[in-house]
Order: sequence, then C-alpha cells, then structure tokens
Amino acid sequence: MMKKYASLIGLLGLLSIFIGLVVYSIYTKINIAVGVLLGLGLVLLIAFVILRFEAIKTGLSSRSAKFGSNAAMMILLLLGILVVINIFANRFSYRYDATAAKVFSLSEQTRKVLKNLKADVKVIGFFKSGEEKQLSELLTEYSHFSQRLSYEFIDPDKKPVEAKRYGIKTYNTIVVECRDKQEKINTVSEQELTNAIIKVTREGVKKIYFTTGHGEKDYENTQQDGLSKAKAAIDELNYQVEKILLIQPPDSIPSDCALLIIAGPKTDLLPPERSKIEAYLKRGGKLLMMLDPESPSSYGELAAQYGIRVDNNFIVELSPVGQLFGAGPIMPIVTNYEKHTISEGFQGMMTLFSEARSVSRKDDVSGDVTVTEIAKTSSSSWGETTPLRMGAQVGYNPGVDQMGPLSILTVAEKAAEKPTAVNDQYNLGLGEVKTRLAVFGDSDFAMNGYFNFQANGNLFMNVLNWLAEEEDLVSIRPRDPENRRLSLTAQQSKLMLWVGVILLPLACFGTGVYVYTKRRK
Amino acid sequence: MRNFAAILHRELKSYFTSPVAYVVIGLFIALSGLFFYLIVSNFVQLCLRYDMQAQYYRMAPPNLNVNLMAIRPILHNMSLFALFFLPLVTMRLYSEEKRTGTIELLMTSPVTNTQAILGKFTAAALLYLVMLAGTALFVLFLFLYGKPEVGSVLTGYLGLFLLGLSYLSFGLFFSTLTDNQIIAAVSSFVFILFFWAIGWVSGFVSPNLGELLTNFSLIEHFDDFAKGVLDTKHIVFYLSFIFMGLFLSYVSIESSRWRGR
Repeated sequence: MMKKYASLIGLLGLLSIFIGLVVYSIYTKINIAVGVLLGLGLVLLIAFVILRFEAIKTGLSSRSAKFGSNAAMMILLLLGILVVINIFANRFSYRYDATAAKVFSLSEQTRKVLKNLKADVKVIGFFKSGEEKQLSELLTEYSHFSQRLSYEFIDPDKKPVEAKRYGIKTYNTIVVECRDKQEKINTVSEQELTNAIIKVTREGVKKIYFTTGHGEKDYENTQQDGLSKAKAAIDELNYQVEKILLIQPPDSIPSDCALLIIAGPKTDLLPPERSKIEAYLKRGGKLLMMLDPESPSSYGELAAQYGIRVDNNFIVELSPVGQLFGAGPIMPIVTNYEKHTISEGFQGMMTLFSEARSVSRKDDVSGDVTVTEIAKTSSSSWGETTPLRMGAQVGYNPGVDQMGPLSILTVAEKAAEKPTAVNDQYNLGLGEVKTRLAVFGDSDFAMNGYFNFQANGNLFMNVLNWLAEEEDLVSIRPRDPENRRLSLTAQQSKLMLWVGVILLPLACFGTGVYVYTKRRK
Repeated sequence: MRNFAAILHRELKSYFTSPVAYVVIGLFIALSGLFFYLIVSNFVQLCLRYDMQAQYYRMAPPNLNVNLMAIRPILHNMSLFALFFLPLVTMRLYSEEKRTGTIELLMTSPVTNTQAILGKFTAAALLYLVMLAGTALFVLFLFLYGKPEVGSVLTGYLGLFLLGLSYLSFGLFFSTLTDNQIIAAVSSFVFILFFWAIGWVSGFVSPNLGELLTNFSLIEHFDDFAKGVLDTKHIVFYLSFIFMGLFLSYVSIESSRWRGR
C-alpha cells in the first residue's frame, strides 16, 4: 500500500531538502525552518530507500549502474588530481615578464622584502568598486612572491562599518596591516606599498638617544623649558627614548641608536665624546643638534665636517608677522621653507623660534655631501654679531652682519663611509646607508613652551622622522611602460580598414561560396 | 597514429568542403578586425592628444605603449569573440555522427575512441589556428607602422590559443551528449560562459571563496597572457581544463556502449 507512494515520498524528500537549502542560502544560518525542512527531507528519503529497497538493490547491481558509478569515480578522481596539480602549480609557478620594460616585474628590493616576510601581512584596499584595477594588478605580482601576503578590496560605501573600523576618510586608501601595526597610504605605487610593508613588519623599536651632561634640555622636565611634550610626540610614533652620557663607556654609541639628539648644550664636548660621535656619523649615524646662540664651538666644528656652518650671531627679525604674536625682534618667525622631504606640506605654515642663530650651508661643500637650508627667516632680518650685552647697540652693520634671509634649520646628507652590519638591522640590507645631520640654530622652539605653537612640533617631528626613519625605506623607480606610440596617416588607417575588416573576410566568404558551389555540381 | 590522421583528415575535409568553416573564419576575422580598427584608431588619437597637451603645457609627453593600451584590450575582445564562435566549430563533431548514424560506423571501426576524440579535437584546433592567423594580419599592420613589443604579442596569442582549446574541449564534450547541433552549441556556450564569468562574483562572496572562484575562472587566467606575462600556473590551468573536457568526452562516448543508447 505504502509502496505505491514510494516515488512520491522520495520526490517530496528531495523537494524538502532543496527548499531547505534555498532557505539556508537566503538566511545563511540554520534556523528552525531550515532544520525542519532538512530533517523532514532526510526522513522521507530514508523512507523511500526502505520502501524501494529491493528495486534499488537490483538497480545498483545492474551492469550499467556499475559502469556508471565506475565512470563517476574516475571523473571525480581525475578532478581531484587536477585540482591538486593546480594547487601545486599555483604555489610553485614560474613567472616571466615578456614586456620590454619589465613593467609587470617587481624591483629587486620589493622581492627581497617579500621573501623575507616573517609574519602575515594583509593589504586592504578601500576603493570604489571597479577602481581597484591598478592596485589589484600590483598586488597580484606581490602575492606571487610571498604566501604571507594577502589582500582584499573593500568598497567603503558598501561596507561602511569596515571603513569606519579602519578610520577611512577618503577613497583609494590602502591599509597595510601586520599583527597590531597599521600603515595607511593613498597612492598606488610599488615604492609606497613596499615601504608600508617594511614599516608594519619592522620588529623591535627604534631608539632615540638624548645626550646629557652638557646642560642639555631634559625630556623629563615638564616645565616650560623642558622637552616632555616633544617626548610624548616621539612616543606616539613608537620610538623608544633614552638618555646617554657620552663620557661613560662603552667606547661607541650603541648600535641600536637610530638617532642621537643634542638639545641645547651649554658646555663643550670633550675630545673622547667628540670622537665617539664622529665615529658614529661615519658609519651612517643620524644626528640632530639644536644649538642656541653662544653655545660652545665644538658642536659647530662637528657640523662643519658635513658642510654646515653654525654662525656666531643671533637673528634679529623685523618682519611684522612676528609682532602679531607678540614676538619681539629676537623671535624670528619662519614662513619660507626649501623644498625637501622635511618641509612637505609646510607651505603657509609658521614656525617660531626664540633667540636663534643662523645655520647655513658652507661655501666649500665637497661633492658627496648634500646640504640643504630648510627653514628661512624673512628678508628683513639679519644676523647680529655684536654680543647682546647691556647697552650694546643693536642694528644692521653692513659688512659685519649677515643680511637675511637666514637659515635656521640646515640638514646634510652623505653616504656612510663605512656602513656596518649594525645599521642593517633596520636596513633589511637594502639601499646604501646614509649619514644624516640636522642642525637647528635654536633649541627653544621644541621646548614645552613653544612645542605646540603653530607648526613648531610638526617641524621637529618631521626632522626627526627624516633622520630616523626614512633612510631604511626603499626608493623604487616607477617603471613606465616603454614609449611605443603609433601614428597612422588617414590613408594607412583606411588601408587597414579595407584590407582587414572588409577584403580579408570577403575573400574568406568567397572561397567558401566557390568551394560549396563546386561541390554542388 | 594512422587512425588519428585519418580522422583528422576526414574532419578537416568536412570543415572545409562545407561553408561552415569559411563563414566562421570570415566573421571572426571581420569582427576582430572591426574592433581592432576602432581601438587602434582610438589609440592613435590618444597619442595625438597627449602630444598636443604636452606641447601646450610644455611638459614631456607621457609614455604611451601600443601593447598595453591597444593590443591588450584587443586580445581581451578576441577572447570573448572566440567564446561565441568556437561552440559553432565543435557543435557538429559528434552530434552530426549521432544524427546521421555514422557513429555506429565509427564505433565499430578499428579507430579507438581516444584516436577519434583527439582527431576531431585537433581538427577543430587547426581551424581555430587559422582563425587566429587571420587576425595576426592586423598585428602585422602595427609592426609596419609602429614598433610594438613582440614578446607580449606572442604571449597574448599563446593565451588566446590555450583559452580557445579550453572552449573547444568542452564544446566537443557537449556534442557527444546530444544529436542536436543547436543544443550542443548552446549548452557548451552557456557552460563556458559560466566558467568565464565565475570570477565576477568574487566581489560578493567571502574573500576566500572569491579567490577560489577566481581560480576557476577562464578569463582571469587569460589576463596575464594578454599583458605580456607568462606564468606556468595559467598554462597548467588551461591544460587541466582541456584535459578534463577531453576526458569527459571520452567517458561520454564510452558510456554509450553500456548505456545502450
């Protein structure tokens, strides 16, 4: 009796399972309806098998069922083998860039970075759908060199929660993530991307040492003349700050020193200290000096070795801009910046100094040193050489005093003479090691009293970053496709149209008609 | 080998003595040629415009590369055209034999199924080669009037060839399933289109599943060829795809022995 309805029961079972799966695919979670539908379907199917047991048994043992299942097995087996082969082929593929300019090949530096990845790096591109092609192409190449790199694209309009989680404010932002570190970039270029990867994967913390023992400004001092605000800003960028007394052993500046800062010293360097710093600079060290007027001469001599002259003066500024802020003539305000990594985005920003001396490029700088005067006072300023004493007459003396604009910040860069393996710790063995030196003619601008004034803090941090960080990041020349243009005259263009689009196909059809009619006859 | 050659010869003869081959080849070349002409004309105008702009702003003109900006999109277009045309090439391979009953002759002849399948497949592949060779004339034009890169043109054509063979192998399979040529052509077209577009859904599913689906997508593997990069993984993928199609055809033919149909 029941057997009569066996097929119907089986059919209902299948239908129930199918509807269950559809419901599941809509809600993407197992709820009661899904559970009931799937359960019911299963029960009906089992009932079907029991009712039709004999028939199924004979059917399965038939010749064709045997062959059929055999064939199905073979197909599945082959599919499995092919999938495995393809997984291996994906892993160990060989790639050859046939373009003449190797447009789709990554630079040696990037490959090295990718091959040395020790932690998983995730790149998330926040792009409007359809605008991610360029980055996607670049990342395809990247992911080829490391299994540790993964990437995805998120449309911030479609997934605003994700975008908010990463603090995305503009389209085309790329987030590079590794463990708990993050780096955001806004341009699609190999250089930016590789550098971001280097930054997020860099282990350990860079150390910045402040010298002590010569009356320097102290970062533990929270008073107006302390540097505690500067220190807080440095901490934010994950640098570690420590003090160093140079006269103490060891004989050389620690190898983990990413940057040495001498902030407003009052007494001269001792000869062993000085030679320590010189040795440090030679092997690619980075030094920041903030030298107030009338500070001892040994620091200036150090700077002179790298083409920077620390002038013995103090700057008098008569420009009316400073007076707006109640700054007197001995508080120069800087609004002019030379084009440099440090001053990027600084146009129209003000920095205020107090009792500063000028620091300039020496006239006889040897060729391998690049010296740049970054921040300049106005043209209504001059470098007063008469010492400021009671009753002394302040005024511009032609021939003696130097007329503005004068530089307050000057930086120098030179390839290290004997780069050591020590610097490689941060360098990943890429690029050459460079000695970098930045000299301010003032130390007051960075102290608590002035640090948050206008762009003072920004300037300080920019200099710090330039000194301590950028040098281990790679610079990669973008690869443009080769210039292969095409110019066609109107005749050539028409020839192409006629021959290619009309005559050739017509010839083809003609042959066809010829062959066909000939065969018909 | 002799059997294989005999099948190949027979199939080629039936292609070229009927108008089908000429129409397919002619239309394919005409369509590719039209797009070729349009894209190249566009590129030429772009070159001119950039040159004028550069002169106006007194800047160095940007690098414009005919391979990347013209040939690459053309190759992509051709891969799509092949998708429309190749099912027409394979649709009759077995369907016709089934319809006219010559399949019985083939099955009882000393030709093995493998030989027959490979022979038919090679004949279709050769026809496709002729189609591609016809379009190579356009590229020749470019070499006459400009200096395209040879390397990426060659990789592009290699990619087109492999992609086309993938279409053909499954077209062959679908023609073993039915004695109706139209059904064979349409079903293989839909099937290939499905594997063509499967990567597009990657944006709507989870990243892992998306990557998996992209890996199965026929066209995703083609892009590297088109831009001038040769990658062994893509070659392996296409060869796997082709092999799978041929194997399914084989199973399908074999099965007709015991399915009793």
